[in-house]
Amino acid sequence: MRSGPRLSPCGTLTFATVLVLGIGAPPIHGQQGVITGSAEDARSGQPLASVQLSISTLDIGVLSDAGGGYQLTSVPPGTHTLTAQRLGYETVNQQVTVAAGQTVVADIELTQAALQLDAVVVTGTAGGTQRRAIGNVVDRVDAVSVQEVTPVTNVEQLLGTRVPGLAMQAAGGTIGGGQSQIRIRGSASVGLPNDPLVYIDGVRMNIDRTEGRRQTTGRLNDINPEDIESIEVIKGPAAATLYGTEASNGVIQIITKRGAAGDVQFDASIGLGTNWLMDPANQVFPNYATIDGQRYVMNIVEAEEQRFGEPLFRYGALQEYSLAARGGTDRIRYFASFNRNDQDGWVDWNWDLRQTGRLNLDLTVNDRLSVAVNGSMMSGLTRLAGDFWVQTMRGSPRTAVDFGGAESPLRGFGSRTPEAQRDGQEWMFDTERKNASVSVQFSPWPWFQNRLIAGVDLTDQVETNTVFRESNAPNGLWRSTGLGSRDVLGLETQLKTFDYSGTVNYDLTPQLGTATSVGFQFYEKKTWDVRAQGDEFATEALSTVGAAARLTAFEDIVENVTVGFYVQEQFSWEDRIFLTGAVRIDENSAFGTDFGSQTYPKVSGTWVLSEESFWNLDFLNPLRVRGAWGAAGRQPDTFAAQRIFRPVTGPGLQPALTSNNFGNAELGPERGEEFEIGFDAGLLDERVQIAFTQYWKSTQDAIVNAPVRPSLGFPGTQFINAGQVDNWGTEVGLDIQILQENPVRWDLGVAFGYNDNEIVSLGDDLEDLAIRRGRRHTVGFPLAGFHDFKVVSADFVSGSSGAVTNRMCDGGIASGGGFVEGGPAVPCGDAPRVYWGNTHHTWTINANSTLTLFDDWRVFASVQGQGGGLVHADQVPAKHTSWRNSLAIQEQTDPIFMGTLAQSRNPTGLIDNGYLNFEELGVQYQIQSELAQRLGAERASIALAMRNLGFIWREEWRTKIGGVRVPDVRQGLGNQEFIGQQDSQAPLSSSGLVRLRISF
Amino acid sequence: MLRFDRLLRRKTLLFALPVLLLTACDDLLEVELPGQVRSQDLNHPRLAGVLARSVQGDFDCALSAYVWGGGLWANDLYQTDNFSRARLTQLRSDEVLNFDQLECDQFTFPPIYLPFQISRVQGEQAVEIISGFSNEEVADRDLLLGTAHAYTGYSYEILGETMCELAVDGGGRVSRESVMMAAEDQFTSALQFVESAASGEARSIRNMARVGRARARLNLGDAAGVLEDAGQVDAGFVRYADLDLSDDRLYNRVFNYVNRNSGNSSVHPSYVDLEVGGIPDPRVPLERLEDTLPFDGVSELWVQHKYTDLGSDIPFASWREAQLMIAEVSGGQTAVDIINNLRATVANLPFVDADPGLPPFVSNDEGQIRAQVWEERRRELFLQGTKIGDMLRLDIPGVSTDDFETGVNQRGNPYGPHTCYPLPDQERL
Repeated sequence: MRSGPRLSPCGTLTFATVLVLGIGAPPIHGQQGVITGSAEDARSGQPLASVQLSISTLDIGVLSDAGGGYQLTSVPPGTHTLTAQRLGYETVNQQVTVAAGQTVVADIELTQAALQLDAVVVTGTAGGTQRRAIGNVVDRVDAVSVQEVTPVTNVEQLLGTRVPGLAMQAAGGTIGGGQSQIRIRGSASVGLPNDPLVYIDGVRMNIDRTEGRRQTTGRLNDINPEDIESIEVIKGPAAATLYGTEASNGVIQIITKRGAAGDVQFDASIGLGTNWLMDPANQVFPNYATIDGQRYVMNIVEAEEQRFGEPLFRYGALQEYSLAARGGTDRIRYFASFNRNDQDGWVDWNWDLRQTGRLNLDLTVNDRLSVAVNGSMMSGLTRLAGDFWVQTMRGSPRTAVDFGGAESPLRGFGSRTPEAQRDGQEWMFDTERKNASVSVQFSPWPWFQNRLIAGVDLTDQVETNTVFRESNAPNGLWRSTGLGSRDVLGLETQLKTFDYSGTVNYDLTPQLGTATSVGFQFYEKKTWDVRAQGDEFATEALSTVGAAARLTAFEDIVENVTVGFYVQEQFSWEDRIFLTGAVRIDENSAFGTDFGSQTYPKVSGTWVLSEESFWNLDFLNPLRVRGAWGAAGRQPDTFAAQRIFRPVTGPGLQPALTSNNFGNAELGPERGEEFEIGFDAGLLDERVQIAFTQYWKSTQDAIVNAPVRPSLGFPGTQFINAGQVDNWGTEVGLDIQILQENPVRWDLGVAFGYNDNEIVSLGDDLEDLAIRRGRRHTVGFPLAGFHDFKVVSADFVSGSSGAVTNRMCDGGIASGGGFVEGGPAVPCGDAPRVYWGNTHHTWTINANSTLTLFDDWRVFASVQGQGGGLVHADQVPAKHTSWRNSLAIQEQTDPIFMGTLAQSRNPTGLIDNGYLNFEELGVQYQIQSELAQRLGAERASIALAMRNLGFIWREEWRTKIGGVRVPDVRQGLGNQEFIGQQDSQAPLSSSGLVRLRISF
Repeated sequence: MLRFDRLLRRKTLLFALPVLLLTACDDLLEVELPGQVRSQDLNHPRLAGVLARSVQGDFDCALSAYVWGGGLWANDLYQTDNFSRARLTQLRSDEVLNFDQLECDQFTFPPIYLPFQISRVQGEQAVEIISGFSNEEVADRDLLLGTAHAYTGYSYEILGETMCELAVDGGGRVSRESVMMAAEDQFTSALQFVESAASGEARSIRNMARVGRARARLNLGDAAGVLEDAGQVDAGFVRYADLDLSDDRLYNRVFNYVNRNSGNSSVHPSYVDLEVGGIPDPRVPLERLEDTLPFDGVSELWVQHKYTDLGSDIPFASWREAQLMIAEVSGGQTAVDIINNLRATVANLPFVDADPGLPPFVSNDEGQIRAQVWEERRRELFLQGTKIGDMLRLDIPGVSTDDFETGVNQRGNPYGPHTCYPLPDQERL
């Protein structure tokens, strides 16, 4: 007998939960009076939508509409405290007296404040809590404010470096191809990715990167930045305990815009701009060759411009069009948006076209039950630039007849010219993304709040990489040798989130309140990876996989599930001292069979000192001190614990198996424990606001990706819980209102972060673990420190150039699991690798200034910098040894350089990584309302934003050995840990965008 | 008390829902793994054939990679690009010590060590699992065990010939001689399982084990043992690594890197224009690519035609090799006769179209005969994975005509100090 669709016990209960939350709500009370008015920003005068206006004693409330207006009905006569709350703004309490049957006008001005002690924080809390009650630092980026002054085209620009302790390493300067590597408080994991979790409206978001050849593409930028209200960032285990396993690298939560009661209001914007490679002749490496005894140098950018009379790289067009609508009633509110974004790169075959749509609905069933439904979609098509950039580095005058070389179609490029890249390879990403969630808030009684979030994030991505058969095959592009090939890679990623939290409030005494919370979370990630590959086409007209002579296919399904449960107890004393304790228990499908569940506790406390009666320092008000200790985890890879064999094609094309993963039955998550203390303070009537945090973090049972001994018969590496990594750092956020009054207001902001780390242990058998090109994890040193031989002297075999002999190296001084510099000189054959320095940024800074003139003009500028370590330019050593096109290898007159190459070429890529960059310049003009209305609009503004305007300061321009000038030190490969600077990636581009925004 | 009771009731209500959810959702953590196999699922009689076949598949793939990588190491091939790490294999550089260990179908640089360790371990595991089943449970159980033993023996043998020393099962290091003895034991076990079997495959495995054991005994200096085994190999026998162009794991790596990707690797100049008495030697068929630019810009490019496409099988055990082993340990007129017999039958080789009429070798000088045996091996077994073992075994001044190169290579880069392949750093942790 066939049975119809059935719900599992879990599904049944989930359904029942939703049902139970939706019934039994009591009716709302009748009307007696009305409070109406508007809510606006106290500094800019802009109307504020979505402000929660409520009278808590009466259990009634309403949201302001898109024009800031609101109307609160059913107010009984009397004097009431009207409370106005909005994310990112200080809570306002205003006394309002209502007479029976009358309407009272109460306009509210809300002030943005950096400290925002009464702002509601939803990330890392059980259902949302005022900032004053949270013992850890929570940073918030006000997306709306950023967009007003410096329009952004993607989420990365929005997040930028506006948060102390958050650093981003860009993945390259071409369009559509780069997702930055995001690190919060640096790296702490030896063997697992150090990426934070990202949520959107409470639902886990896919930010996986897809690796391509010399290019990565990522999912974070699938979100339309115009849809974002704010972004909250919590930074480590102390804050992220309630997220449990996976959260030890911090959590980023994107909060989207919501509807507001009132007539429909449209926001339309048009953005036009360009992106370009600034000063390209100085962005490429000059290539040298010695031909017939004569030295030639070629700058490929200048050479191509001379040859063809036009620049090698162009200005790529940026276009974006957005339309958003919001409105509704007290019961139902909506926010809907559509955005089209079209970007062209600075090489003409590189472009990106994407369209996004969003619909957010809020349904207030009654004053105890509200439901929010969010849905978004994105459709994107990208043609990646490919690896053309490395061809500028690999080239040589030897293949440029106008530079003394031979007649060659390469014209001085490496293995292919830009037009060969453009015409010979088509590398596309086609992405469809859908995100949907439902959030139910239910308070059956004033003391009992429930929140249920269920959501899915679906990503469908098809990558096609076609290398066309060339007319002069078999000589041509890589892999296919000109005979043609095509790869089709389909990747479907499903993320499901189910998150319930419930809180019971109870006041033990009028001063002492308690809030007990419990939560249950289910998170599942499933990826379906399908690949087809075809090689060699019979004719140039063929270009599908099926048309190729040889076909291969691949399919893989990977699933991971986390189930967690937490309990939290919070005590508050007169709403100024808070003490919170919580425990989360997790199970994960990736844990080994011999490993049980994992428990993560946390304790935090905070005290708003300035609200105490004894506080009499008026210049220092408010002041809050806070401290938190907590643990969170980082799970191993799916199936990392299991011993696994993979299917292969065996003899006679029959099915066979081969070893794949050695596994570890005892494998569990690594556990990050963190202690942070800090304070938030306002000085001089809050004209100066400071947020200071000091943290210490220790990652225990750190998962070390230890190589499996080949003699065990398995390839690759094995995850073991063996290591310990300590991190520590300081974060300072500083906001200063230098000038407060019209007609000139001037604000300064600084976000500074310092962080460092040290490997305490890699397990019993391991002191040192090689990563790549001189970077090693060594006990007693930072993660991925640079350890390699250091040549201190060498003699030329003959004369004053050429090969060297008598190479002497730094003998090092034993320290931890390695050696530090400063030992006696010893023959290099007897020398150890010594520590040259760390390869992460120990400090990051972002300083910005906003000048407001006559309320209409705003000028914004920001400087971003990082430094405090070394970066390894990975391609530079290849210029000396593989392509032999550097000046140093052509001259061979530096004995240390020659000796280093003979010993280990890695140090020739080292350069100090410190820099300050002119990151953003924005100018906004608020069009006079009379003029805007003449255009049929309620409001209008125009803004110009320019990005990446050049280095203000570089610690070093040339490599320490060999003296190669490295144009940029910022780009890397986002999907690989500790990869260093990848100069094969195109340098970061500059951009300019003008955006006209109209509200009507 | 009333206040406390109320508090308790409220919190009970709070906890009720999550607890219910947790108890109802105990199957949530179950995940699927439809694309791979857990080790605990292998132990089933139905999979015995798959296990034996998998050992063979691992070996075939390993051998294909080894013929390319070992060829670079031992003067069969040389690397003609400027940038790949394969050039370091050719240079026998110290850097090979800390190479990541690659699987047989990876190609950042030639995988030499790990693939045979995988094949060896999987072979021993297959033997252990299949041995636990009865003949009733597993059809052709003896043949499967013989196959697994024979391929495991070959994995030991090539590791023993190539490596300076070996690590086994994550433990301590063992000498080349011990490894060779382990290979001999595996072949002996294989022969016990297929000694009396009559099927074509069983006979092939029996011949393979005899050639393999003879080769192990040759390395161990057991001349009598060589003669005993090599003399029993059926005339014309050849066992191939079964390759195919439909799957890149089964590619013939030599064809891939020398012929298909012209400009990466080339045949070593020492094989260019080989003749016998003025007649081109068809056992080393080469062609110069004059119009193709090597990636390093300086090397001559020579492609081979012994393997004609990506799916060309690679022979690794044959009657001709057995004959050469007899010649090597016998010397004298026996060796001369064998050399001439092989020359007279070159047309039997699949890549030789017609008998070129190679003239016979004539000599009664023992030194000259031994040198000629070596030269005949070099040509007969060209790109078959025997070269490193031969160079190390025959590295006798005045006898070997093919020494490990020293000085600098064609691009001016210095050769490293290694002759045998050093144990990777990963085994020294």
